[in-house]
Amino acid sequence: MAYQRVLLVDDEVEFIETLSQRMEARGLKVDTATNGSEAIKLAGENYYDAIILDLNMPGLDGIETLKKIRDQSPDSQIILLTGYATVEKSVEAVKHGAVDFLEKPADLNKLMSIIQEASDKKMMLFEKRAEDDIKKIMKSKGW
Amino acid sequence: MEKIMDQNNSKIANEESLTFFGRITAGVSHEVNNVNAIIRELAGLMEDLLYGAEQTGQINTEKFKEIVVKILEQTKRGEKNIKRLNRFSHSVDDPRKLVNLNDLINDISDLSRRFARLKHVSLVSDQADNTCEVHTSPFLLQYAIFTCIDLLINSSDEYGTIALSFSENGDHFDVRISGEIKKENEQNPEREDLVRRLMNELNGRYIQEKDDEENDVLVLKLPKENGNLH
Repeated sequence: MAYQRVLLVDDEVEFIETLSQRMEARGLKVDTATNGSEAIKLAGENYYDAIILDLNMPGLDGIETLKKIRDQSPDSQIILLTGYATVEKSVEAVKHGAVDFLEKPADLNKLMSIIQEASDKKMMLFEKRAEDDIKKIMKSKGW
Repeated sequence: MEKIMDQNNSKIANEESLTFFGRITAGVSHEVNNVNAIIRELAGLMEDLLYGAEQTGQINTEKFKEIVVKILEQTKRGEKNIKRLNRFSHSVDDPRKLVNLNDLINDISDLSRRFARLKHVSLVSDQADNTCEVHTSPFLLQYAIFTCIDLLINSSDEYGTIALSFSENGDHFDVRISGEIKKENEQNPEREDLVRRLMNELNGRYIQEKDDEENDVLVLKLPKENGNLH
């Protein structure tokens, strides 16, 4: 059975280590990063069903990281996790393509369910893109 | 002549003070929330392990001990943050009181560390061997030091260092905040004006100078007045 792969990004090392252990116990493959630059690099090199990003990080913050990841991989499904969500920040995150915005600490069952939805959506986008590509090839061949 | 700080005549607007108060409390609340989030995940991990133990009949006591140590560490971290926040909140109780400079510098340095970390800047404070006490406004003095730290955080490059120290200098205590102001970020007239006004409220002065290593040093010259050096 194929596992879902997620990238967890937060500068609190203890937090991502513990949360990733709990997610892995539920069958996910979890990569971690402690800053935005590292996250962008990993997101460019690997396929992730979902990326969970902290909003407040040293250097590039969550929104900047979100924009850069979406620029390089527009289908990325990004969930923002923050200490204190404001309406303005939520709107900004959604405007830049975040699929959800959760307050930290988040309920793990809820997070798992959002990851599942994100993964399904990414698969749907992937299939749609593949279908469009096939249609284009068929059209170019005159089939 | 000693100037008595009268809040009604203060040159520091309530709005400015509230902005400072808000930034500090928001910073600490984020730290405490992170501590809570970690403890919650560690508790969740224990719950997961207990569920696994119920299924297998075996319990990994070493893993449990490891988690307990981590929970204790986070609890201590949370306690430190709350104590610091409590001391900071009480700094507005008295417009003027006898302040231990070591403790005050240590506290504002810890309260500012998160802001420095977000810009990848290190913040270090040198503690004096002796205890220096001065009659002053703890809130306004912390505000002046924080404004200098903030000015340097926003003016220096990532991975820079800001150092805090203080020394006795004749009839003054000099609180020195050193870092590197990059040319392109050099203009900070509003913040510098604020520091000047704050030091004026404290009967002190603000100057900027270079140290031997060409670092920019923001110096807060605080009159000893009734201060004591032990």
